[in-house]
Amino acid sequence: MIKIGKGYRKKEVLAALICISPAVFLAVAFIVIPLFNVFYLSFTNWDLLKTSKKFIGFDNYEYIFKDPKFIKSMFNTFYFAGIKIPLDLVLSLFIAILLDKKIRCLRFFRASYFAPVIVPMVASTLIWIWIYDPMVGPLNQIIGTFGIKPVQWLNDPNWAMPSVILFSVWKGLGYNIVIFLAGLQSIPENFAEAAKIDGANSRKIFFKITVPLLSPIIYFVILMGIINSFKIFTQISVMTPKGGPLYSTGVMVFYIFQQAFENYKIGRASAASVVLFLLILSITAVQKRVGTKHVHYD
Amino acid sequence: MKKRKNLYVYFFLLAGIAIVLFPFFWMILSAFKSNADVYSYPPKWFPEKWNFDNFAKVFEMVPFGLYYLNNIIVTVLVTAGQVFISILAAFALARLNFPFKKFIFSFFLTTMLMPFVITMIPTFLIISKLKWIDTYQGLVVPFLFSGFSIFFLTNFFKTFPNDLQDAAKIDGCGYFKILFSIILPNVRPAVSTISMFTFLGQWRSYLWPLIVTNTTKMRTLPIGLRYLVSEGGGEYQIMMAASLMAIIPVLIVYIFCEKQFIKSVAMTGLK
Amino acid sequence: MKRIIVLLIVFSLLTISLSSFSKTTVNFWYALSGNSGELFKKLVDEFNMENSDVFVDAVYSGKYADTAQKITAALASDTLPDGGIIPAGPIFTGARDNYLILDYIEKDPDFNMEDFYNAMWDYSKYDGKICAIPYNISTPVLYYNKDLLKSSGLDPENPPKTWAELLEYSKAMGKDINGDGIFDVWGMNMADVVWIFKAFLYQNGCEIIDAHNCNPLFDGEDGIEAAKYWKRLIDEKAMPVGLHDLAEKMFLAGNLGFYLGTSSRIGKWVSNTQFDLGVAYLPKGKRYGVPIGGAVAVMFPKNKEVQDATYRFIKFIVSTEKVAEFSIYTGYIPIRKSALEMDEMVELFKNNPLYETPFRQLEYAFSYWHFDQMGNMDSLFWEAVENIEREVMSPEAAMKDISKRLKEEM
Repeated sequence: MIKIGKGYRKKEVLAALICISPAVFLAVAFIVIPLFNVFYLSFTNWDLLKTSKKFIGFDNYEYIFKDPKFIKSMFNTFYFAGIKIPLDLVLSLFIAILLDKKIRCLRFFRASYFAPVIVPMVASTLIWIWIYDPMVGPLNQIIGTFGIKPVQWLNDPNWAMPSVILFSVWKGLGYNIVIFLAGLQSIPENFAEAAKIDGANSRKIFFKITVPLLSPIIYFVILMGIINSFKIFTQISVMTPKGGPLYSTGVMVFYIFQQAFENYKIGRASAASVVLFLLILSITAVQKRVGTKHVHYD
Repeated sequence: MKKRKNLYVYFFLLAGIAIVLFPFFWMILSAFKSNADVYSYPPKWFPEKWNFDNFAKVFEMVPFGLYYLNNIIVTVLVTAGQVFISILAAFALARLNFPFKKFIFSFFLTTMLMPFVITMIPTFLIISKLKWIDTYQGLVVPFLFSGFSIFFLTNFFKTFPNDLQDAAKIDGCGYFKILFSIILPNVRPAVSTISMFTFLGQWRSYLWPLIVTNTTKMRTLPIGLRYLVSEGGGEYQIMMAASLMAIIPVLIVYIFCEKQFIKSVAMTGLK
Repeated sequence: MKRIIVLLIVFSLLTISLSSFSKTTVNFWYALSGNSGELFKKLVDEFNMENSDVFVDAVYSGKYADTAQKITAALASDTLPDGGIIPAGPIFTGARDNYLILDYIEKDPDFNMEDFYNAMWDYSKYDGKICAIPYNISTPVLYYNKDLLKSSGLDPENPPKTWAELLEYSKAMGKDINGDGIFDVWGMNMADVVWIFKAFLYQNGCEIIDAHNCNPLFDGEDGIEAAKYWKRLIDEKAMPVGLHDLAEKMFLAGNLGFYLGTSSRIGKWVSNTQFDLGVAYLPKGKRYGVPIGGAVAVMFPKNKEVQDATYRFIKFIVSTEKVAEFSIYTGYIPIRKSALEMDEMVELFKNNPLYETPFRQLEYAFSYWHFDQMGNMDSLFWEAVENIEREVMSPEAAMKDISKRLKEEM
């Protein structure tokens, strides 16, 4: 596009203004203003069961950082993200590579792996709660045939979080598979051919050629993984309504939700929200800094 | 050698699919089970007798038809509105040049970081000040903006070759004509994908409709689903029947545009 | 596609305009689902048919937890309904200085407060003053699987009456069927853990809390002793660790001997279980005692016309006749003494003696009135039970810990 100096074209700016203003307006009204409101409320002692509301400085922040449940919820959030994201990455990349092997019925395979993505969250959690049921659930029955002792899944403090992670991987895997598959298919074949002629084995090809070429996609998948992991809530609240045995699945959004909707402490919930927001913001900022190296290929 | 290797590939893929599809299989079978089947020990995999009682019960217990209709209305309005607004914004961000563009783009990106639970109460306060509680506006307007939709479409619009746009400009096309008659027809897969995402996200939305509606005539489907889980544990098989019915329209949409859909999901990652 | 959207919009506008009548509309929320939800809807329809000048728009507000969320948002924005059947109602009315319903009761010569049980009035108070009318009230009862008792060599007609018997019988019923070293059949379990825990505290002579000054009493000797009994139930394998959310399913599947739970299951379970079902009083510790649970009818201040209509509706649903109908269908306890004398009720007891137990058990019912930290106290009890069951803390330490934390919060 031709630009005249540093100036903008009047007509273009006007068109842009018309196009962008509805989105900006809505974002300000329903995200920015609420966000500022949350920020403000985090400094008040607003309790819905009381009629007064006054400014109390940093008391709410002091409270939550002394609350062992909040600390645990931070740990649980990192636990979830730390296991789920790599697991998701490795599994989906592996399956995508298998699908890239010029197999038959690709469409069937791809659609099947993608199917869990489209099932509404609440419906799928209900199915999985049943699957995990330690008494009448099919999962224990299946592992029982291999001679494995029954596990209490969502009712065991050590297994509850892995169970939620397993479910979440199932739910989101298909999305990443499709993305990786498309990425793999767009890598020109002559790259690998040339490497093979040079005597590279398949592992070397994978790490020296495939992975670097896929790096922008891997970056995208990790970024979305982080954002979504820190926001995780629905499956936690449906599968473990009390935050799991010994609060082993109580993540940060869950803690916020409990403070607001079970204890009616809007002030404390807001303070925890601000902490969560700053946390997501800083992690994505760091990741952005680390991962901005893009790869181009023709 | 090659053939044997492929055998492994099929083995892994099929094993994976068995795991991935098992929950669906379980849901469909269970929707036809009787109470006795569900609570038998050891668990029964297939229903003793295939019966449709559970589906009938769902209709008996909640005004499923009305809720379904409301769900369609709200979902369609949100989807149409959100996609339209996002297309406009994405067009500006991807194809036009204007001050504060970078800032606005990163601002939109940042909004993706906010879990809705956090802003829900303040949003509710705004809606109640506007006197929009228990209205379609209240259900629809807060969701017309989506950082993800804009981000997704912007990336997609950027892939559109510059020369075509320039050629159009030389022909004297205005910006809106460029958008609607040149760019849009060429990015249909992206638009249909984001429509589907919005549709899916909205179709299942539960908490907000519960809070913002106060009369039966405004209620949506997921609220009806929750009704079926009675206090202290519902009946698995009825839930499964209801879930199955709720999933069917989504499945139809999915089967209908699977190819386009997969194509553009893939595009999100590429840019 | 466009045409469909237009059609939908037109249709939705039509439905909106059709419903604007000149009647007084009462916005009423209810947290009743399943059986009780069905019957409640039927009562609403009846009321609307009988009263041409009022339209009650009764809306299901979700399960107890969901209703609490809806109330939260409504409180924050001052958009409460006109009335409702709401769990923990008094903390949304009395705590905010709304004793409207009491005014109406006092001014109404037909309303006979004496006909309601005292413990239920306590349950509808905040700070000692009535701010709600009890509605769907239940107490925990002991459900038992007669077949399982018989096959374990116990007398199916003699369910346990004391804590010692409860422990002993439960131990006798637990067994590992498939030989994997884990019990498949258990003696006892419950879904509403905190509720039953409070019953145990009370049965052991602990008054739980002094509602006058919100002083916790459960860290005393009686309370700790009850907590130790809970630990014994776990240690001696009478009850599984941490499988409480599955209790109802286990019981229905026939893998549980005793289910300690709300009487409101009777309506659904009677003649519906695959085994011979029995219902008995909750066994006694030092004394009998069952906590009252459930939701209450409340009113929120609006203009006089709407308030009058709301009160009329509430009065309708708590009339002797409707209360009897509701109780018979659901198993919730009849809140009025006169309901027990109705012919339908007498007949019910004759045909279905299972109902009689919870309905008669009321003489042992107890309740403290509502206070701000009530929800918080319940979640602390839940933590204490988890800590005891999973051996994070000794019963004594767990009770002392939550008492200290509750005091800090006050």
